[in-house]
Amino acid sequence: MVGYVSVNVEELKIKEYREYKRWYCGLCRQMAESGGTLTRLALSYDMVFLYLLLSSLYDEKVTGVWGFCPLHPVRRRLMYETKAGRYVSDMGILLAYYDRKDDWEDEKEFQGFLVSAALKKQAGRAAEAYPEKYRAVKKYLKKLHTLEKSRGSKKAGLDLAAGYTGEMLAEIFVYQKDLWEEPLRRMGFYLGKFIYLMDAWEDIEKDVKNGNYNPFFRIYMEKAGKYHNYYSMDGMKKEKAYQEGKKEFDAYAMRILEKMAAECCRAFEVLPVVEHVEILRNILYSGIWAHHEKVKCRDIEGKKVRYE
Amino acid sequence: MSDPYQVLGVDRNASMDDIKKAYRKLSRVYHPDANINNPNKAEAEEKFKKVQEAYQQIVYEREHPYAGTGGGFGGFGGFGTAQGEDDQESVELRAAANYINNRHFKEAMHVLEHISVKNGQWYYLHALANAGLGNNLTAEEDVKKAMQLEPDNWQYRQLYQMLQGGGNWYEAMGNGYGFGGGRGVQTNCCWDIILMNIFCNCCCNPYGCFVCRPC
Repeated sequence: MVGYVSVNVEELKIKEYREYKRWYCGLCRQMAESGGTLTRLALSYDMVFLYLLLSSLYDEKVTGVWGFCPLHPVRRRLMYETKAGRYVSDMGILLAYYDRKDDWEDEKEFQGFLVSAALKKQAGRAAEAYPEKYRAVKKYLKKLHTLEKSRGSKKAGLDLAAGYTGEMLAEIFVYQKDLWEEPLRRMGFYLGKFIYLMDAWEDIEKDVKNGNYNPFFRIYMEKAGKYHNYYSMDGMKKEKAYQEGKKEFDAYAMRILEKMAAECCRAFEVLPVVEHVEILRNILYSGIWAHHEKVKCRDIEGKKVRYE
Repeated sequence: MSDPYQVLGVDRNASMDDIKKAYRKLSRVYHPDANINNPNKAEAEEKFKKVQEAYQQIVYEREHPYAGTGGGFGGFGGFGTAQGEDDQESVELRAAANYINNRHFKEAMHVLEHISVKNGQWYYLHALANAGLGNNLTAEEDVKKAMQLEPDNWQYRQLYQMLQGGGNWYEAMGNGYGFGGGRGVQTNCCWDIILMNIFCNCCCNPYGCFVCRPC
């Protein structure tokens, strides 16, 4: 679920790219400051986006700090810190900890264990500092978990499953209770849905193979997956039919994802964001698709089909 | 109420970005935090509120160009109330419509769940309630069903177009900001991936370095 909300580097100006890096490093540094260097594991592009958004929206005072990064110790770099950074870093810790803890407990994923072990103490502290957010994260992750465990009841549509992630992120996006609470909540909600569905779209083939829950399952089977069960069909023909169906499915999923992105952007355009709006728009209108393109290219290259 | 454009000191045809800039400029001047030592603190605060209200009003007017003519949810007007039918069903439908008008979508949903006869209007209200709750995909399905049941109803078609319009709007906005090529398949994927990787490493992304997920 981590990392979809990044910039499209190719579309950025060098100037903007440098700025973005400073925000990135600033958040990383603030995470390390709040709980030791391993807390940096909670860093993700999604949180950098939120950090930049909130700092910019609330017109926060930016402090530039020159510092060393343990991973790149050769040169000092400039990092931006604001008050919102502390909030965002705590939210990042909360999300990373509870998300990865589930990964570890269910799938025995080693990464999950590593991250959750490293963040345990910090997550406790963050939960104490923001009890409301902690409860929301716990609640929605639990609901999502139950849904995925039950393999999704027949009634559970895309909206329901994606809505849990949406509501969780909506809560995270609300920094202060004020005028901007509503648009921020709406933004977080649809961005959360986007992230969840993007993740589901990317994993569909893997999930079908392993019998895991995926909200796209029914549509995928209808459009493409059914060909795998047509044993009497000729191999070449089957593959071709499958490819056609997969294309149709991808177009369908793309349309849905676009809707989510559109709603998120509608809410964003309401907010009086002036500084760094180019970077934020780069992320919202282009960067969030970078991963999508990458996956599509991977699929195509893997099958040695030329895309026209 | 005074003209919001005058409060912000911008032209009526100003772009949204210009309005945001004007708002930001004024809100910096009048923000309570910036006027702690100001003898006319109360005045500044008053002005700050005015600026906020003006900004909100402009945003609202631009988002709902038809508002003010019909009232009701999103400017869709009333829901064809009372046509002489006073049976249980239409009373309940009206209750649901009222809830929707007052933006109590959960309650509206609750009322709708208890109605067994599902006609075009039911699906329409169900769609509105779903849209209000953020279930935009289900809302679209609902309104499609409503349109199937009553193909001539312009209200249903209007809602359908509104729900459909998001994607087009998004694409147009993206193109407007110069991200047209961002989502087409780029000519050289390898370069993208390499660039992404360089980028990840540059800014010390821990996922890119030792917990390689998903980068």
